[in-house]
Amino acid sequence: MKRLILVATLVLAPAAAIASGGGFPVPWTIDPYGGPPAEQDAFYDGHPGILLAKAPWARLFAAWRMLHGLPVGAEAGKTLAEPCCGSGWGGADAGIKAWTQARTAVPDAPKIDDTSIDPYRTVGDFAAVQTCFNEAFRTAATTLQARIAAHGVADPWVKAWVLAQDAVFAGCNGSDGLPPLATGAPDWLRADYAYQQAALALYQRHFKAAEDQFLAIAADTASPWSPYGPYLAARAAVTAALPTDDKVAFAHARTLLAALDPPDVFGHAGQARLLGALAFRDQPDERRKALAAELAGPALPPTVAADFKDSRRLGQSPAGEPAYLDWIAVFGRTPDKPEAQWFDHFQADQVWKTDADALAHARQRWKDTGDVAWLLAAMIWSGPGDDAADLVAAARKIAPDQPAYLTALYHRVRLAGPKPDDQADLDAALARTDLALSDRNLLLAERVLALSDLGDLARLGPRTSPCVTPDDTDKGCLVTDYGMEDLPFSTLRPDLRFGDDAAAILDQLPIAERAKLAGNAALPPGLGFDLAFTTWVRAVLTGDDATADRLTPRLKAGLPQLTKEWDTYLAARPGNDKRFAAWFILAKVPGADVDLRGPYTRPQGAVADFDGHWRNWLYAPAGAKSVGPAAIDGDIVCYGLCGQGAFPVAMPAPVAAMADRAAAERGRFMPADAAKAGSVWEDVLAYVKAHAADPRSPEALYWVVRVSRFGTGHNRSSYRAFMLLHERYKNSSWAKETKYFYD
Amino acid sequence: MTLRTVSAFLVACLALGPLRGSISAPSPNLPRAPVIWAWERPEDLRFADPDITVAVLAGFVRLTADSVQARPRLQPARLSPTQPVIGVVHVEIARPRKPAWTAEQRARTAALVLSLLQNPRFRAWQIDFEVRASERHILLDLLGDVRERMPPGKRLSMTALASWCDTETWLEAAPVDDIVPMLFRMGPSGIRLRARLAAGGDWRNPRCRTAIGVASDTPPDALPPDRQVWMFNPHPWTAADLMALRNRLRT
Repeated sequence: MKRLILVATLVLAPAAAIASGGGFPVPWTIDPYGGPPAEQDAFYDGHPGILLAKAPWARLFAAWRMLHGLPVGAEAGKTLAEPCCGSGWGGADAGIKAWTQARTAVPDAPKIDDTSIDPYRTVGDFAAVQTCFNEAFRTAATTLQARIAAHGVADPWVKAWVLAQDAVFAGCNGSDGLPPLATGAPDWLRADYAYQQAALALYQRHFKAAEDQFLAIAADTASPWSPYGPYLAARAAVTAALPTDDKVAFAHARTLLAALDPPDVFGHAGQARLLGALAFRDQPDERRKALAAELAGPALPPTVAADFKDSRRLGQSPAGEPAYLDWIAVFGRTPDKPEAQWFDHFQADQVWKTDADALAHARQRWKDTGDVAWLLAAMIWSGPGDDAADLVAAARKIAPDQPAYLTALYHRVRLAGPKPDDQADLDAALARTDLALSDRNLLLAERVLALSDLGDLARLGPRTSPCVTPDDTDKGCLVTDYGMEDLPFSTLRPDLRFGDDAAAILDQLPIAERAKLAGNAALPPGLGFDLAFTTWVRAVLTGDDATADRLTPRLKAGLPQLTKEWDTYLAARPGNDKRFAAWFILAKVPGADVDLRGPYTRPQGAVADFDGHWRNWLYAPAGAKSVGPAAIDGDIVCYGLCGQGAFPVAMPAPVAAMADRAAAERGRFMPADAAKAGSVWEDVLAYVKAHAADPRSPEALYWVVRVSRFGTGHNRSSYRAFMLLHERYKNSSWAKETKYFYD
Repeated sequence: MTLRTVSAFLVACLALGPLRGSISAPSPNLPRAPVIWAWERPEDLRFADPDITVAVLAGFVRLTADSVQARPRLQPARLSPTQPVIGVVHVEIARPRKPAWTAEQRARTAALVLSLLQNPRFRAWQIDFEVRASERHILLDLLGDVRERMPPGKRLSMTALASWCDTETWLEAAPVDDIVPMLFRMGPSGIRLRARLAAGGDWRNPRCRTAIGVASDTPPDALPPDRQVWMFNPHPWTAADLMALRNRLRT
């Protein structure tokens, strides 16, 4: 029978911190952690795609190997992809469950549930350490089953064994000892009891006692636990030594580890890792060299993720060594002004003091070596205003089948500014079958900015999220494993949105062009509705009844909750009646807006559940002062994730040609001079005053009160609506539902 | 009392949320000195001024499809013995599958959150739990469950994504005393929002106007007035970090 052990797993290093504190919505179109599992596998199998500067450094390490013809593979990728060395979660729920389940076989054993065992021990300063792990609980369960099989479930010594094991696990966070061993206990129980004592000492962090007891077990050749004693004693010694600078303790731990030299000794497979852990602390130069040789070698070890983390923490010495850290320290450097983007970095990783230093180093290394990895590093740190012509020219020479191609393509288009001439290369890249969704979204953004035909916006503007499914579940991305939060998606096709670049262009189009695009059959229905609705709002605010009427059937189909209101709008006579019908709709849709970028929120569900915050809607007559479009701040293509180099967005020529007309319209639906503008909420109050018998009047007042609660009213419109509602319609249901005003 | 003043009073009460559990009224002595988050990394905050409150991340709770896990903080946070301390629990959903959110899972989640907040030094509690639109009920349920079982006299706060305070209205139902909208890590729309707040604008939801969360690496140019400022640092705090941020924000 295979011998069983109660493996006492030790904590060799603090678990990786998880979660960032504060939500960090990863840009909706790009996943810097590599997308869903299939895309992760493809990446590590040799398809690096567009490398993001803000990808985790372990991912950049894999990219460095690919750029230098070294394989990584999906197996190594699975460990590299996660936050270092696992998710950092730990816990022992599964093991505890197995143990408590196994105990139920012993009828006389006191009942416990799995919540009564705490595998963590409080150590002060608000911190705890995990002392007991899944493997220990599972092995205890298996051992119990073996003891029952050997001695019978009714054997009182089996129950004694269970009670002692309960005490061992109570020691995970407690300080009590084992129950005394009764006289007359059989030899098998005495041997197990000695082992249980040693394990308890370990859990209670009495490392010297644990080591001594495991060594004694090792020396007891009659004990079934004897073969495991040397390994567990060595682990206790290593764990005791690591937090210290005690040379004697380190030497002692190495002495114990030497006992694991023979390949057939239990624990031999773990010897190298334990020696590495010691060397990391007291022989960092040797450890750095060993790790560098291993990680730049032709094949990666199973411990690659932990080894890379160790190498990263040890850093470069001399400067430039290891080569992969030299490159990553530039490519993945946190910029001097990271804006809203931040990913965790070890403080020691900021090798280059300034952005300029980093770029200069990349250029020098590219010049010295001709290494394409350094060309990419120089590109991502360069902006269009820099003298980057040589970089662009070099990037053009990279063949499409090279691992650097897509990154080079993205950045050369960015650096030269997207132009119609780029369409062919971008279209060819978009036709590839090995594109990750993040890469596709980036290339689509550049293709949109290079467009020459506005009709292409319907085809190129929508983007699919790499991480979210149509029903708002996750595709298995790692974003939450990195402690990052994703966007609060809408429940209606949350996987599909306009790219920010496309939305910025659509927002700068005049009403007529927007209305035409909204009818383009290539647009997904939800996005078509968004475009139509924001255009309709512009149209009604500018008095463009013809366009608003043409759009209304589309809106009625997309928002049937307001069927009556849409029909009323279409049937209303031009002038005050039509305006009131439009304003009535605005009063019921808090998320309505004139732009796609910004606070526009698609109405969903019941009318009462529509999200958003009403604007203080104003409008101006024809001839009002023109107003420019909303500013485009920052990098709306890659949000700083691709690199520090800026991506200034210039409107494609067909859009730029309409700028004056669009500005004139904007001056009417977003007036520059509020004092001279008409007010929607004021109009509603005036209309209601003049149309007391209109059945919509009390409801309109109800909504105007709400506008100020969840949005912005006009000149105490909430108070005035409240007073009028209660004076004139005091018995209406609308008045009864309106108990307060909100100015 | 006029209708208007009565209304204003009632509005103020409503702004605190529905009368579920016992929600503290806005305290006239609400501390205005900043709060600093001590996230899970080794922190030595013994340099902090005694008026500063430290919000110590006490642990994590993770919801899976049909179970829930918890673990305590694993990194030390060293504070002076008299430093005011708030306990924070970060709750997250392990995707891809959503929690079933059965009665058993719900009860266990609340119990685990409460167990992580038992340190007697915690004078107030905070739940940090970002959810998607389809998961709002989970957050609201959890806040309600914790609120119902927390000792009297303690304040309960929650962190909030910017969008919750600016484009959504469901926070009205959150049974908490304070909402801390996080003005950092906001993604693409963050730049515009920060600019709006710096220009004198404010969150659209009035419940979000008593506190604000900022980060040391992306400090805002200006903040709306009369906020308790909660400060996050992606790296271990240093006295220089704290002083620089306080000076910049004049807190």
